[in-house]
Amino acid sequence: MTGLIDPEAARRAAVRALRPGDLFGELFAEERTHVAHEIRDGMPITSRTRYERGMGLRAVDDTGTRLAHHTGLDEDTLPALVSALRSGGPVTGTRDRAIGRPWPVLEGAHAATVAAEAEAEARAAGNGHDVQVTVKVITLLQQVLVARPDRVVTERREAVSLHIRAKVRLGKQVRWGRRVTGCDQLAGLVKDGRHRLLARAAVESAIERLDAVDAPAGRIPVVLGPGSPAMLLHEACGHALEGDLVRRPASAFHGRFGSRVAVPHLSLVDDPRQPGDGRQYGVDDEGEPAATAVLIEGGVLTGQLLDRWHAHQLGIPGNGHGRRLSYAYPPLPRMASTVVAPGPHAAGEIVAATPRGLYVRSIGGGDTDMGSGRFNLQVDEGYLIENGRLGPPIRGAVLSGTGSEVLAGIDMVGDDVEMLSGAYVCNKLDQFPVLVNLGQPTLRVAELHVWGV
Amino acid sequence: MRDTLSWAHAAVEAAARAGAEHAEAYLETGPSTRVTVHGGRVGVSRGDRAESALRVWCDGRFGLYSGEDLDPVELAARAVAETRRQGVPGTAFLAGPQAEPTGIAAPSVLPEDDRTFVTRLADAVAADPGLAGWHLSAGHVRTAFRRTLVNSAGLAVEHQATAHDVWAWLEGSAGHVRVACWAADAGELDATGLAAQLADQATDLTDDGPAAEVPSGPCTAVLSPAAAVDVVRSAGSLLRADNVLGDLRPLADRIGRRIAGSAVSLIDDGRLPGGSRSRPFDDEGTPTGRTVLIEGGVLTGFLHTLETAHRLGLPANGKAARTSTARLPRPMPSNLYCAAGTESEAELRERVGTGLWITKFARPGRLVSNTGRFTALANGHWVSPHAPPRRVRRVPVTANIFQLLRNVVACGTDVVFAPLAGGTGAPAMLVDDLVVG
Repeated sequence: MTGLIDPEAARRAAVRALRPGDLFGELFAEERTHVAHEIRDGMPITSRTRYERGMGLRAVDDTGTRLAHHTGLDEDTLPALVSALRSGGPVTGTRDRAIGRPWPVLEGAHAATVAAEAEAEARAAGNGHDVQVTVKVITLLQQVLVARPDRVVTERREAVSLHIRAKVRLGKQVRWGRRVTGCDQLAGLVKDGRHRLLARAAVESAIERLDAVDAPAGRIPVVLGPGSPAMLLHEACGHALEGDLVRRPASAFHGRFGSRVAVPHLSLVDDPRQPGDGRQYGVDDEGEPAATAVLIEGGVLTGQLLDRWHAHQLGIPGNGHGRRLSYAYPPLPRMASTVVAPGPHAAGEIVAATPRGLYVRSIGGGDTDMGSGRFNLQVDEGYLIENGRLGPPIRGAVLSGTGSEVLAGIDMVGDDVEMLSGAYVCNKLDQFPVLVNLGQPTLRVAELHVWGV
Repeated sequence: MRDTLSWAHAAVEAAARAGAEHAEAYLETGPSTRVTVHGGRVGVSRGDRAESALRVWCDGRFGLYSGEDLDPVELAARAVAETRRQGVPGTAFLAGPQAEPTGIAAPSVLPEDDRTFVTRLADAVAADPGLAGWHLSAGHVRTAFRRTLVNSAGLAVEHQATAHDVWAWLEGSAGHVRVACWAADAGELDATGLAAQLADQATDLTDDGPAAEVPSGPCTAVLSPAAAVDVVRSAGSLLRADNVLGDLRPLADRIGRRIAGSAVSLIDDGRLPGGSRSRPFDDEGTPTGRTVLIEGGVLTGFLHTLETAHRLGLPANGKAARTSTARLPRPMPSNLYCAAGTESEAELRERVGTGLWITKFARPGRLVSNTGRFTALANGHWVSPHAPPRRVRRVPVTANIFQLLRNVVACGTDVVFAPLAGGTGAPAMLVDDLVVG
């Protein structure tokens, strides 16, 4: 028991909320605490703590979803939620609250120390340049309870992330370097000096790009480095493999299960229980156990990400990918921890085998169609590849294409999988931000459209 | 949390008892209904909202504590204790009592016609044969939104309004289009009109006829209002006083000097009738009003919070906004727009001669704030005096935003406000020397 709410009272509410014809439903209760520490130029600039708690009671039938939600956690409110859900009316009759329920305390001092250490390391790496560094550490603790007629499950979820942004100025030139990482415990951020290494790398990247050259344009080979460039596959392929989108006839992968979509040494999986220090959850926001969704196996399209409704529609077991922004939103099928499995090529071998092209170390914002996977994404940090070696950094570039084009174009898969855990936020149908993990090894796309900005 | 003013007073008083020199409580409360259509299914979510934020200052430090379902006394005690331990150095800038009355302007109960708007929109899209094979996802969020602000300088204000925010996303094999609208009253929402906008954009997207080659280099261009809003929004963002105190410090010395073409007047009006962001006071409690940022091309002001106004030695102008209760107030545009000119868009097009008619940027303008560099992909037409307009697609255009504003020769007569561009409004603009490539 998490202590959020009485589990049996919650289960009874989930039972009573269902009307004849409803297929299923649940009560989702949660409590979250976020703490953010931000430091710039040696001085703390943000100290922010946020507490959220509430519950949402949902019922699903063949036509759609009804959800009644309420800020706060108390059993006295459950009858009002049940009544609202059954009648289709507003949530009324809740009592005024002045609840003295204590909040969990997140130890902020250590997070502030981590931020300060990273910031100091970054400034030291400036090596005489005009450098401004901003470091933010965000800590999140979420406790959830999902009560269904058939089960009550609880879970404690934790995530911490480190965000480093370095700005280097030389005359009128300004260059940025960014690094982000995350895991489930603060200790993971400092393990083997990870926070300091990333801080130094952010500054070095910004300095290096003072000498940046124009990006190449046209259809050229693109090598996507390990780790954060997995954002491209998340946006352009992952969304299109979510149960609600893949069923659309216009979707990139509709009707293609069992077909080859990539080279045989490419596999893509999503496991919310991700081993290591990036676990997202063991039970999803509908109370379903998280399971590995094998989306592409040996280059063949094999699976999709399912919430309860879409699993029910297909008549197959779900895989625990029903996720919601908060208790006030209904679950959607979404990614949690999407990773390209390691392949047969050494990373260095991939660059060496590319006479000319673009190497992408990180990708910034952009625009994507969720279903068709069509995308325009900005390269945050990239390098020319010249004669099989990394050349000078580039100033700015945009990658354009479709997810299926990228998958079909991948001809080399590295063995150097890197994860970006708990530090990337995903948007879907105005439910933003939801934390996801991304991961991939070095990948080469034989040809992709690149244009400079 | 029915009595929001009492809650806020209790939090501020408890903070003082716990030893805070200054405190400010800010609340956002009220019921909301969110109706969505996605995959042909309708989702209805209803509930209440009770978010609060407390800023406290003690011993030369401050901290921000926010959330839901908080007890004011417990929150204040914790905020003061933690601010002493790990707060950020800072000075309190608080709005004083307002002479002008503010109050509750709308009922706190939402009407119960939940499903109607999005289902009407879905029906209108389904009835359009040109949209066969396209998939609609849409949402209609209705809120009766109350803001409450109490601080230790004696300010106590509340304001409530009802708002309808609608977004729609239509996706097909050629890509996606999206539209949005905002209304204070449900009666102003037009499902058929919104469906027609989606259909127009979808038609534009699927038109795969030959596109004109556009020569690289500078050209004259007309920006339709849907494209000009991206320019105005970018310019407004640069005129935030926190930018002026940072990378754009030279702008502080340009007050009273020309920074744009004489056709350009940029106004931010926090009380614009019918404006999606109109409200009597900003998120620090400063009364809102009409602020002219650029008048006839001359820089006349910036967007301020209390702190930026103090640091620049200027009066505050009610532009403080919080993107959520978890965030500190920052200077942000409210209802920002470029004033109308005297010629219609068609007349401006005739003045182009040979050049670009940009109907829309393919994605929001990308802005590098420290340099004002604006890059975007333009859709529209290549026009010349003796030939019909020829389609152009995704033409990269680049400009320094200030140079672009200086090159604005004339503005159109119709100011159009765009919810997808943060509620910014713009008329058509005739621009010289826009660089293609």
